[in-house]
Amino acid sequence: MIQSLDIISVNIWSILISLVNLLLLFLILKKFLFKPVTKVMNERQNQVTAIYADAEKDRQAAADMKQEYETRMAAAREEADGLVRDAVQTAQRKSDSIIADANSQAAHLKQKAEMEIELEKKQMLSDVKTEISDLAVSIAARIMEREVSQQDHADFVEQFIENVGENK
Amino acid sequence: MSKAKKDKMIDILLLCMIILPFVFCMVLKVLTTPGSEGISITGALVYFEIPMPLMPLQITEVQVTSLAVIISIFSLCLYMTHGIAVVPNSKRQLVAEYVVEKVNHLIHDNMGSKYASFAPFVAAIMGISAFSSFSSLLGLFPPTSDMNIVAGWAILVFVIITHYKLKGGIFPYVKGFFEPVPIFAPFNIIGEIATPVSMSFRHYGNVLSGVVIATLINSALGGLSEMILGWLPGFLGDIPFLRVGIPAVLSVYFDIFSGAMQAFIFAMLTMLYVATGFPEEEYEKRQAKKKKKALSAAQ
Repeated sequence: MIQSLDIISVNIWSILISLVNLLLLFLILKKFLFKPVTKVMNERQNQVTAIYADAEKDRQAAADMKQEYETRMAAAREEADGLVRDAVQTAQRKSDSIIADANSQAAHLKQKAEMEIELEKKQMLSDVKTEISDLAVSIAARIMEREVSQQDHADFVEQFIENVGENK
Repeated sequence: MSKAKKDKMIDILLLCMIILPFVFCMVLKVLTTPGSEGISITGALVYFEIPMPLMPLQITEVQVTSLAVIISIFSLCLYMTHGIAVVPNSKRQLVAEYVVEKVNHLIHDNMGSKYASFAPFVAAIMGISAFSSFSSLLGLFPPTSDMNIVAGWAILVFVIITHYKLKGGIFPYVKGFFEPVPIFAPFNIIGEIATPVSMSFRHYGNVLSGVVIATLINSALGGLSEMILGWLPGFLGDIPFLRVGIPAVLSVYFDIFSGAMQAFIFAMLTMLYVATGFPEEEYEKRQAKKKKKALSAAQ
C-alpha cells in the first residue's frame, strides 16, 4: 500500500533537491535557450547594421551621381544655349551683310542706269543739234537762195541753238 | 538519410520528449493511486524512501513531476532552438526569440541593464513554477503545492539576495541590521528571514488552496449530481454528470491563472529583492578602494 505524505510536511532533502533542480534548469536555459538565441539575434543585428551601412553607402553614391548628372545637364544646357545664340548671331550678321550687299548693288545699278540715261540723253541732244543745224542750213539756203558757206552756217546755227537753249 | 528527414526525425523526437515525461507521471499516478472512499486531501504519494542522514529522503510524486518538468522544458528549449538560423525560417524560433526578448526586457525594466545575466535565472523560475503549477491540469500533484519545493527555490533566491547584499562588504551588511537603532536588530533579522518564508508560503499556499478547493468542489459536484440525477435508470444514475465541464472552468482560474500569476510574482519578487538589496554605493566605494590599493601596491 502506497502511503501519502501529510498535506504539510518538511523534508530537508526534498528542499535540497528542488534547489538543485532550479539551478539545473537555470543552467539548461542559459546554455540551450539564451545562448543560441542571443547569438543568432546578435548575428542578425550585425547583418542588419551592415545592410543599413551598405544601403547608406549606395544612397550616398546615388546622390553623388545625381549631383554630377545635374551639373553635367546644366553645363550641356548652357552649351546648347550658347550654340543657339551664336548661330542666331551669325545668321543675323549674314543676313545683314547680304541685305547691305543687295542694297549697295542696287544703288550701283541705279547709278549706272542713270549714267547711261544721261549719256544717251547727251548723245540724243548732240544728234538733234546736228540734225537741226543741217535742217537750218538747208532752210536758210533755200531762203537766201544763195550758197552760203557750209561752215558759216554751221557756226551760225550752232550759236543760235545755244542761244535758244539758254533762253529757254 | 537526407538532412531534411533527419531534422524532421529529431523534431518529432524532441516533441515526444516534451510530452512523454508527463505521460509517464500520469501513468505512474494512475497505477499507484489507491482507491479511496470519500474525499481525502493529502500530500504527494510516496513511492519509496532512501535512508539518509537526518531524515530519510522520500521519493514522491513531487520529485518525479519536478524531474518531468525539467526534462520537458529542456526538450522544449532544444526543440525551439533546433534549426535556428539568422534569418528566421520557423515559427518556433520566433517563439524562442520572443521569450528571450521578453525576459531580457523584464530584467532591464525591473533591475537595470547590469543584471542582464539574471535573465536565464528569472526565466528558469518562471518556467519551473508555471510548468509545475500547470501539471495539475493533467491530474498530477503539482510540485508547487508541496512546500519543500517552493522553499528550495526561495532559499536559493535568499542566498542570491544575501550574496548581492554582501557585495557591499560584511560590515555594512551586519550594520544594516542595527539600523535605525540597535533595538531593531531582532526585527530586522526576522524581516530578513521572512523574505524566503513569505515567498515560499505565498506561492505554495496559493497553489495548494487551488488544489483543495478543486477537490472540495469536485466531490461536492459528485454529491449534487447523485442527488439531482440519481433517479436516472441503470448505470446512468451512477455517472456524475455535473462533474463534467464545471471543474474545467474552475481550473482555468485555479490552475492556469493562479499558476501563471504566482510564477510571475515569484520571479518579480526575486528581481526586486536582488535589485534593491544590492548596495550600489557601498559596492562602488569598495571597488574604488580596491583599485587604489592595487595601484599603490603596483607603484
